[in-house]
Amino acid sequence: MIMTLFVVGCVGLGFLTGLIADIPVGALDAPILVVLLVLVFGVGLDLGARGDAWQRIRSLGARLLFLPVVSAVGSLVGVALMAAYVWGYPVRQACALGSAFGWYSLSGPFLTHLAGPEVGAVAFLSDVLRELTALVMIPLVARYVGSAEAVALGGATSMDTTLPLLAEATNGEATPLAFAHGVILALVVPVLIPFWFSF
Amino acid sequence: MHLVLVLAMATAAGWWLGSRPAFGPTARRWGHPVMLAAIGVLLFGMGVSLGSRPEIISQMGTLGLRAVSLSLAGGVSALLAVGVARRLWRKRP
Repeated sequence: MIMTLFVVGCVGLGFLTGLIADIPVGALDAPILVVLLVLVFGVGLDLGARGDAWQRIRSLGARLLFLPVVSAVGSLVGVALMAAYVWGYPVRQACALGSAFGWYSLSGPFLTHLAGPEVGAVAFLSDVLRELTALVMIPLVARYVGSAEAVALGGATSMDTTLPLLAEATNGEATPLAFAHGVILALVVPVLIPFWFSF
Repeated sequence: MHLVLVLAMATAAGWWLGSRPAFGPTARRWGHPVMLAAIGVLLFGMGVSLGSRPEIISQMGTLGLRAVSLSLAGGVSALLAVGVARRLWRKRP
């Protein structure tokens, strides 16, 4: 709840500032890039400081890569096809929209910086909704479909926001897998989104 | 490609520094607040970009519809991909 208020407050305050103040287009590009670097450094720092993270990931063996790779490819292809063929986004923007896996606090600002505010807004909203959908659907999917599918639904949030729910819905069975899935996707997102704009 | 490398190096540097035993406790204490502050600034910047463009404000309804369809596409396709792959994995000889 506090995090939701924080997110809404930051975006809302920025939105009002943009309405009131006359800020030239592109004026925030350089500072935003520096903050992005600080953020991805912080992500690495946070993951590295969880001393047992690497051991927990290694203990999963082949499943370690199977689930994140399949869920990432599935998610990326689904979003990219929808964005490109239904909404007419250029392929690289469509692929970038599919590369956040529900991590809205990164995808929105990142794509605003790389592809403009319209794409950034769509990325932010779609990833917020992805997390909300996951929170609603995980118990049902875990019960009637399977725990791996429930983890996939959580995307990058499976290591934090949806982790307690996944643990509860799968009786703890999928907790290490969900954590590893989220960590791997969280490490991939900061590299994968700009990748689509690099050629 | 330059940006990809820089971001990958920043993530790797953070991981390496955070996993050092001498720096671990400090990283645990500061990693999360640093991320939270950075996220706050980035979201504020995104809000400024949106608020300073009237053409985007007028399109919010359409953008919302796009966002709903993309979020459903992402969740459902990830779920289907894992379901199909898991069944194929089970069936292999």
